[in-house]
Amino acid sequence: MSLCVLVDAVIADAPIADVWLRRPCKALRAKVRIVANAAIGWAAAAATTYRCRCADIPRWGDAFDLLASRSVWKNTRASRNEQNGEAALAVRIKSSKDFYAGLMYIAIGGLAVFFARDYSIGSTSRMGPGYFPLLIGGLLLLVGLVVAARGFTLTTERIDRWQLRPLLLVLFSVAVFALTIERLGLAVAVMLVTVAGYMANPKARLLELIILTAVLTAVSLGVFVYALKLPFNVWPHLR
Amino acid sequence: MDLLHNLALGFGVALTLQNVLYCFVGVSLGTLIGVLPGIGPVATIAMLLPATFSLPPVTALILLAGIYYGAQYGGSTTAILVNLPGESSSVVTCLDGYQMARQGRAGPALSIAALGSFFAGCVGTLILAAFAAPLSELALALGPIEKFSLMALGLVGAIALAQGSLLKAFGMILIGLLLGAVGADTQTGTMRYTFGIPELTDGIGFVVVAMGLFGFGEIITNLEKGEAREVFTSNVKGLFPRGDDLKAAWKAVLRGTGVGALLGILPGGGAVLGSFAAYALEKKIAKDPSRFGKGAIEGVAAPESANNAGAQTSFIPLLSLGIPSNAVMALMVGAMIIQGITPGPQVMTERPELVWGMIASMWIGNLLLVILNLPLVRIWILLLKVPYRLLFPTIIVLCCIGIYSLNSSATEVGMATLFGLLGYVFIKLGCEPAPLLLAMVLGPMMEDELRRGMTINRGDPTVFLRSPFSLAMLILAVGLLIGIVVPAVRRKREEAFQE
Repeated sequence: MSLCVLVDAVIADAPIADVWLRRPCKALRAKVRIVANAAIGWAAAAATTYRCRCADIPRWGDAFDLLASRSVWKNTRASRNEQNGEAALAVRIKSSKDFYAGLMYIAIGGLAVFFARDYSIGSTSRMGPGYFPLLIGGLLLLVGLVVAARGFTLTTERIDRWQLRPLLLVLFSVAVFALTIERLGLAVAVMLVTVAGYMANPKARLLELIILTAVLTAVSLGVFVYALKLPFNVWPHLR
Repeated sequence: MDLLHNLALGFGVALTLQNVLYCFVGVSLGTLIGVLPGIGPVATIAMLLPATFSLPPVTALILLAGIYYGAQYGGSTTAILVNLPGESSSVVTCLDGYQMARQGRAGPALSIAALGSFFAGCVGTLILAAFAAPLSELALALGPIEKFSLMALGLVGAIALAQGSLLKAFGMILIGLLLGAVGADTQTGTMRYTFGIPELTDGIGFVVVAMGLFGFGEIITNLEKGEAREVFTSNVKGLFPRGDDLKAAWKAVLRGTGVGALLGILPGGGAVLGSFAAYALEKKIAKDPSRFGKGAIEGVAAPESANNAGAQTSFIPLLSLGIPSNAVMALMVGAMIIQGITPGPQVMTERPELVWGMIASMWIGNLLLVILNLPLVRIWILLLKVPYRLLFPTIIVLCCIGIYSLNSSATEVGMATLFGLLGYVFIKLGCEPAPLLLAMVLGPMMEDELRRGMTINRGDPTVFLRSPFSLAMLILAVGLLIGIVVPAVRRKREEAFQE
């Protein structure tokens, strides 16, 4: 708690630096000012992150995004003037799509390069299996850095809100199929998938679910097993 | 008179009872998924691939092609009646089509869309027939260096024509190339990125990736958005357009067909881009641009013609060069490989009945589609009333069965789960997944050609600039990129996508 107070003091103290820098300035001082503003922005962002933690604000995403956005730097002064500094900041922060896309590219490119280290590279005239993946992975790493940097410095599109229920249930239903199809057979697997998938929709109705499950099970057995004669396990192995 | 001879051969193949039947099944399915928002041709073709195992190659390709161009017809119905794009290529049709429906002119809108599509489909098929053979002769003369540059141009095209940020699209291409590299190296047999999983030895199945990204990923996103539909069903009367409608629309149909056909051939092109460009063009040259967005019939005629022309002509690079130009064509490559056909220019000479049968079937398919979409439009409207909450579990079940039936591998279904998650993340981060799928299919071919070309030329990279064809391709690619980066063009491109 005492740390919180300290952090608030840091935020409150920042204007001093700013006022000093806001005197009429030539090119050099302008540069200094930009750097200083950036530093202040970062400090404020870090501070707000910390405040979010202290105050148990459940918006971890925003706290992190704060660090990822230059709009912090632009808006530091304005929001300091407001009563509820960190809340105003949090609203202004854009959780940049580009920044996270860049991070993702860096991660995938990095992994690709990392795992390609054992494959022989060969020479340009005799390319080994590692040549192409290393080239592409390295390139992806670079692109990721640029995309992330751009997301970091420009105000780009915000990531839409995301919902856990459809995400988890749809993926879960597919995973259920993967886990059950071999042991329990097609009939049971289709039923389980339908139930799990259907529940991804928040307005689920029991009767509808029962009818849908029955119809889908019957249709998939009819079409894939009896008409197309695909080699499935249809019923559970009771061994 | 080679063309006539070839077309005669093609119709001979396409007009057998079985092929007409499967063509009908294909275009009906295409119309169905075109009408239904939330499921596109990529996921459907991926879903149906396993079911085509037992069919003869030409029948399988006729069926799958029918889904793609059929979807372009169906998409307009939803756009006009519900103000939702049934297909991504019908996004701009919503603008004026829905306004026409609100003014009680849904009938003319639907019929002009179908007739324009039919006209464009016929022209597109003719262009395909005229250009496929000469291009494939040219392609036979290409060496590895030239092929590499050609495919590189294709990927650059996919980047340039993707929606949103160029760099992000480039990143998606690179991820696709990496995914294509998974599996045993073709020349040394070294296992790359397989992590000891036997299913990965032959590479990641692109059906798995396509279902994950385009099937599951999109279902999750659709569920998040929720559904709100308002169907103008009672207003569909007087299907036939008035005289002044026809007068206003026929030039737009011609222009839309031209724009769509041209953009469809471009690498990375296809149905979507053409429709945007055609709409923008109509608005630009109209005497009174303010009518657009308020029910201008040209705003329906042009993009609907364009997306159909583009859907047909995007088969040209596939059939003549063996190089897919978009995600749907990448899946067609997969279908050919499953059938034991190596896509490439040699297909045209070795299996002429395949290529010409497919081309002829497209004309038959377009004819069937007009019948399906005009007199029978009420049936599709009924289907629009099926709520998404019943639809998406069905799609999940069909996708699961589709993936599993490919190799009877539960591991692959598990992998599709991961790609579903990845697809969702891509959509959330504004990364378009279509270029990835294209790159994944082109990747192994490109790597092969690159290694072969470098071995032949003793590792001298300047050979890319010394071969005139390769140089031309690379200049085109660079020109395309510069063109997009130049601010003026860039703004236009963004405008076109926004509308």
